[in-house]
Amino acid sequence: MKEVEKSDAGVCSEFKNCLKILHLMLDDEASKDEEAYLTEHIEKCMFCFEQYEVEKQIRELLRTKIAKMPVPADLANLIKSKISQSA
Amino acid sequence: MQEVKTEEDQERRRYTYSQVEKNKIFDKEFLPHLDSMYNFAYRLTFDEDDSKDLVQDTFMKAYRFIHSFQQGTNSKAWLYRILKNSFINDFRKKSKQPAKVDYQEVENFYNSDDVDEAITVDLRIDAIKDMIGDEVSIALNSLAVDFRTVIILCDLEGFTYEEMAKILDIPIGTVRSRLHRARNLLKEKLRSYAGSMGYK
Repeated sequence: MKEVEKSDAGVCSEFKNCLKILHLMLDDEASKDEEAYLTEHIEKCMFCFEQYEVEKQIRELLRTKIAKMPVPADLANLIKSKISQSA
Repeated sequence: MQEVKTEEDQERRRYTYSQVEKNKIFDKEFLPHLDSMYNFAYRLTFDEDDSKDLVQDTFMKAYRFIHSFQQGTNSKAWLYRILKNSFINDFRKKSKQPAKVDYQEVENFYNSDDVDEAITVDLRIDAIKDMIGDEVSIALNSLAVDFRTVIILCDLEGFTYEEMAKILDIPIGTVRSRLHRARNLLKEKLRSYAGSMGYK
């Protein structure tokens, strides 16, 4: 297992820890301390900043670009009539 | 009936509701989630009829077990949990899908505090910015169902880790590690699209 891969921006020696916090932060699960650490870190670490941007963008794509399926028009009524039959 | 036992074992507390209250809970707290439940079902089954069946089944069960639901609590997470259990217990058995690797087992084997493998997928931001949605959708759909599920719950539905742990009946540490692996797999898929679009 490779620790880190090469990047034009160089490699971060704290990357393992940064990546962990980065995911937590983007998922809104990081503590205040963790958030403060990473926010400061990515201002000076280009490698982690790039990773952060990539992860953020992927989440954004998932949130906004995945097409929603329209619910079949009769489904709500179908469920309600089944319920009233069983009640 | 096996399924009754399981549900009741997990939800020990019982709430007493009148018929009017039951209908009110159903209409005001359950039915508003129909849209996202149907979409969740579709992302699991990839079939419109199956999704319809799965969602109907979920709402029927929710109504039948309404006494284990506390009014005003997190109905969405509760419904998702029923849907996910129905999918695993009833639906997956019926379907002709070949048996998949048991990721839970794999995870238990590898799991430690050290859940975060520091493997990076070298994917560039400008490559992702040009993606229009189809690539993301195809990449997500190609993930094994356990990995797909955590990404749907977290990114599309916005559940917290704690809610996901309850929906999936797994510890929070496992939520985190499964999500981490799922994201790496997704990124690898996206990178191969980026490669085919001419990005390096």
